[in-house]
Amino acid sequence: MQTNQHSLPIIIFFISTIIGVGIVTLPRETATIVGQPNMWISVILGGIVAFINALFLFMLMKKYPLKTVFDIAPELVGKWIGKLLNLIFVCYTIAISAYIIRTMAEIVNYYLLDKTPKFVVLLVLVLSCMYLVSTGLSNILLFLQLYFPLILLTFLLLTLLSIKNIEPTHLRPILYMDGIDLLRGVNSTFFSFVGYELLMVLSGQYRLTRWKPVVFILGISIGSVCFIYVLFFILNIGVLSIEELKVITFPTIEMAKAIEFQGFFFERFELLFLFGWIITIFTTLTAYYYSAMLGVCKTVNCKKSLLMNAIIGLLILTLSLVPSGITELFSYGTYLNYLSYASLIAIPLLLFLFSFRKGAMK
Amino acid sequence: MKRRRFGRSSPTLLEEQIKLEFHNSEDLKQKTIQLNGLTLTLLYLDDISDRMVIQKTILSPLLTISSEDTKIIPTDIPDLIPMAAVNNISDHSTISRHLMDGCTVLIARDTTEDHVYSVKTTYSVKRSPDEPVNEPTISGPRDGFIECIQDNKALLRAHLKTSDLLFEQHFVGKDVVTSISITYLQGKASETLINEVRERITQIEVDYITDAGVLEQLIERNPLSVFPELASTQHPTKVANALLEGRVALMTDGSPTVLIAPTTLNMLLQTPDDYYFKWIPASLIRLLSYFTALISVLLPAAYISLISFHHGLIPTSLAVSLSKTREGVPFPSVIEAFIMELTIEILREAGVRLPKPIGSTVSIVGAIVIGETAVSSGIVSPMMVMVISFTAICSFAIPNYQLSLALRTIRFFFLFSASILGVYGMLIAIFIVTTHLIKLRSFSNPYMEPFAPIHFKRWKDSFIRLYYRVGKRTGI
Repeated sequence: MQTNQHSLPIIIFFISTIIGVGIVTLPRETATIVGQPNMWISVILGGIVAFINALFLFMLMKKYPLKTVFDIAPELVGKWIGKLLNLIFVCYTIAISAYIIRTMAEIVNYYLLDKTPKFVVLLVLVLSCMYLVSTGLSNILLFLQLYFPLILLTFLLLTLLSIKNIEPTHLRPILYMDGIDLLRGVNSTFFSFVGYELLMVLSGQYRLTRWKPVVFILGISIGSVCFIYVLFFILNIGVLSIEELKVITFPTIEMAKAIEFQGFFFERFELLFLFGWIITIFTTLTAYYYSAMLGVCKTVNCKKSLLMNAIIGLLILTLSLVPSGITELFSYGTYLNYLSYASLIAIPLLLFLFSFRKGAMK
Repeated sequence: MKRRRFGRSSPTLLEEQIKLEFHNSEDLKQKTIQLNGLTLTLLYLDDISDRMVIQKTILSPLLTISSEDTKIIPTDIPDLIPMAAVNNISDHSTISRHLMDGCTVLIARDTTEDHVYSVKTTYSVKRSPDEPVNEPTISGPRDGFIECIQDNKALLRAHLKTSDLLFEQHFVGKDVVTSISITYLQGKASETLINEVRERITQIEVDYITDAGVLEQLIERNPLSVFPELASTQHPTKVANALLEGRVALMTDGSPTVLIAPTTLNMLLQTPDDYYFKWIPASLIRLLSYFTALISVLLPAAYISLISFHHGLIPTSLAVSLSKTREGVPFPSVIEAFIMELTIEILREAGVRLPKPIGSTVSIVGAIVIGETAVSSGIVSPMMVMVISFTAICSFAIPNYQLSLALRTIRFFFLFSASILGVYGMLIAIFIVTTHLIKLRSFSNPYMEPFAPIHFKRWKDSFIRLYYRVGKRTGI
């Protein structure tokens, strides 16, 4: 883990997992809560909170090298309560997968395929993801590495092409602070950094035991995601203005839509951006899908099999088809946040406290 | 055929047993001469041995000596024959293999024992090492491998003048034995790789091998994949380059094709020419070959999805002119694309099968009759003809034929998914194909190296070729 060569795949894993739906919906969510041009400060604060939380998770996992959260929960709090905690975590990963792919289906329906039923759109995505997950974690990491430069390239292109559309007046007043609002914004920006908790799953196969490399990995991953978010916030505000952000459902895509190529085969940039963005959704889905499968297999003590894989896929697919429309989908988002609180803070905290008790008993 | 064992204990003489093994074939010639103190029997296959050589180097020196009064003992024989290589055959079961290589087998018999020697007297008809037809180069060496493994080894030696070059001979096949040579540079190729290749070769159980293509399918581990697990080439320079990178080459007797393991997608998109030009144009050519590979897979699918799903994404003026050209075409664009693709594939196959002088007829028929007339009669739109033929030309530009075959195959998968779900379907198809490529291993080596796992340092010899790689190779 010391060398760059070994931490690069894990950094890529975290960045690809964290970047997902947030990049297209977060500007709107934050704009409705904070409502001022400096709301990107909330993103940085959210990133810091996420980083601290990630360090806390590592503090827990450091005690149990080469074990996942699914292994240590039954060990620490007893078999059945541990299994229950695992189940909550699995529910969380399945719910978050369902949520992101449903959001993607809405976007695909809105921008690309207006007549295709969502079921078909989601089915092919889950099936192809099932294939990738069945190849195992090391191949998943390889897959993420292959697409990572492409994702960055898409974001870079979007940034470069959007710069000329920025209206500087939209960005003013600069550094006008409204502390309370910014702090309230953290509540929503924090959730867009969700993905680092898979550290608790990744630690099963990669020896993450020393502070220095892990702090480096987490710092680089959360830091660069933070940078990308801040960049996109500024671009979004600059191109669309705060007032517009509040009413546009998917502001970043609208921003991409504003870019026009003259005299090229396709007129608008949104197609290219959607290409890159669907890749990020796919990578996020893969990471959570894999975690869910691993969790279920560890909890009920079975081998990773195609059947298990298919069951998880079916669960994600059914759950993603539950909301009837986009408003309902976003209202489910709040429930998802509760689940996140449980899996990101409550469960690890509980395990952490119990780990002391166990240590004292020994 | 069961292999018989030879030995003094068996009732008949050794030469009789060999003759029996060859079913008393006409061309197995035997000549027995009496020397002082021993009987010498010469056995050779008439058509593949050079009679002049036998006479000059074996018969006349021995007869000269026997006319003198010295007594000859069997172990003297190798010294009496003025040839560089006289092999002592201790394992009598290999005699027939020596005979089939064109060697003359000498059985020297004194009162106690048979001493068997073989002398190389091969005479064979070979073609010259011409430039490979399917891998032309612009500059650089123009020699190509031929059907004889000895000459191929010689060619490789000529290109790699180093003592580290090793050939490891293996024999494969139950009915007909084919010799296969594992070739590598000692110190460059890793021991695990060589062992893996060796293991796969020894595991082969097959009646006979006719060509390197058969060998390739016997040792690959992903028979369901369309992508080649081993690179094949007829260029000695290509093999030399691969060996210098620490790869292993497999030479098959009787085949001008040499297999290289492990291979990567990156490697299949390179040509030796890239290294002979200055790095800026060479890098652009590399980029171009990556681009053509992408185009040859994705263009028809992208066109179909833009035309039938996302008109809104095409600029208005282009959309108008496109819809004008599609006026009166009776089929949906998907069917149109499949018809054209199929036509191109048939034309291409016909072009390959036909003898060269008639081959040009196919292109004329294809271009004028089918292309022009189909458009003017309104069966397909001119834009579709353009897209499909441009795709075909792009797939011709791919340096490796096996890869271009693979890409041709998956093009239909992309076309199919684009016709169902447009750009989104295409993207899903890309996910599936890349998952497959990620999963693929060529002799335990990831197929998508250096892109996954990422090796930024090796990117300088991937879709670009940077300056300082000249004359320096960094292994696999």
